[in-house]
Amino acid sequence: MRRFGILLVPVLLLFPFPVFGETTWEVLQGPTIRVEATIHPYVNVTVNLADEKGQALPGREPVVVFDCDRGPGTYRAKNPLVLSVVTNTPLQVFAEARPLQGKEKATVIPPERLAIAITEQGKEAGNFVRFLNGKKLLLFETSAGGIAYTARCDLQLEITHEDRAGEYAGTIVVEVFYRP
Amino acid sequence: MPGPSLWKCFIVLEVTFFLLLPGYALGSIALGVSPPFLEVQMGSGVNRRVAIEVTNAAGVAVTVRCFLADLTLSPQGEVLLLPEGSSPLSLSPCVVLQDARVFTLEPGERRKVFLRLKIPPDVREGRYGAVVFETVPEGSGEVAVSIRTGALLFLLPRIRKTERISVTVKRDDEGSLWLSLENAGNVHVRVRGEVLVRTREGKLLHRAVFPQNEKNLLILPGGVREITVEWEKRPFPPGEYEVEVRVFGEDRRRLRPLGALRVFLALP
Repeated sequence: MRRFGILLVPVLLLFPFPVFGETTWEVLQGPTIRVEATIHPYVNVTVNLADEKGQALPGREPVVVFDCDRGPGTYRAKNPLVLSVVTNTPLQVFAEARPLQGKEKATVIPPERLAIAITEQGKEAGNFVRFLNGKKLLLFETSAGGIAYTARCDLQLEITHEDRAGEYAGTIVVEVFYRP
Repeated sequence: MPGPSLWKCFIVLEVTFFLLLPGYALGSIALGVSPPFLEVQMGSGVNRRVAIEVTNAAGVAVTVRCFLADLTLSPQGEVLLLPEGSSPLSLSPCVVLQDARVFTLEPGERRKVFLRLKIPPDVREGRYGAVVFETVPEGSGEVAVSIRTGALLFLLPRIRKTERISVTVKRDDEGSLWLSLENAGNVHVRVRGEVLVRTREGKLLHRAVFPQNEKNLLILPGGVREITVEWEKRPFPPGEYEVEVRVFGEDRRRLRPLGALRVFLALP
């Protein structure tokens, strides 16, 4: 019996088709559904006015307020900004400050007296860096895509005895462009 | 007069509506652009229309100013916008912005801004610029915040390209090598390269590749990129060595030589 079994195995291996009966297999052609996806390159930038914990605050649009109530010195903005950038391409993030113009009198506080400190998520607080007149500060850049960047931006303003009392208005521009 | 249960329904619906709108009535501005970069090659005299989509992702309406700007890169590779028409490689003769220059985007609204491209026959080099979208602050607050973003646009006529990089090398104060690469061609190039240090007898002592932190360097026509090649270790004793810089253009994973320089320098 054992010898028969030993002989049967090589015999069966010689025949690639069933020995004891003919079996035919039919391949049924079902519908083929192709799936295609196109991911377009994009950049999304969000700037929020935030509370001390970094939570977005209500209001129409972010406005940085400095309440300079103790004479000459350095004042921290009442609320920080939270900058979020989501992109699937390489990019550069800059910040630029325009001079603060006095609303009533022709007085100007130059951008050099404004400073920004960037604290990236999960990292230590950054140092304050002064803005420069007509020049952008590079906040962040990446040569890789697939980035969700979030940073808290603290702002401070230095006033001197030469700055007249009154209200001043200026603009901070957050600039985000593809990094070629 | 609706009953108490109907009032409860209204309140629940209203709360749900506000919760489902991210950023609604929050102190935020948000702008999205797609695509952020366009490189178009086309023959002169051909008309082409391209669209760039801008999105207001915040919960409040925003006024957007749209304009064309010329473009250059700083020696460190930072994007610098210039007033339209101020650069010799300006897009101005080739691009017309077809949509309104200032428009309002409602919360969540997407808008396509169309550009008409046509390269005049006398344009014999690449043209570089950006379509810029900038939010216009509405308030009269102390320091308003604005977002400026957009799409960089590289426009290449079908011309005979000249690609040449002139190289300058010197030792900086800290003993590293400072390289200046100038694009003397008529279109932008993406380059990388290597620095070889040899003895006077020709024995190879060190090889460093550049750029060290990215894949390649983009250089616009007439533009200069500056880089510092750091030595990973001090591979050789102080002395005078032959320094060879080889620059290659990178195009579809093929490298082609674009420039080279061989000088003797005191290193490191």
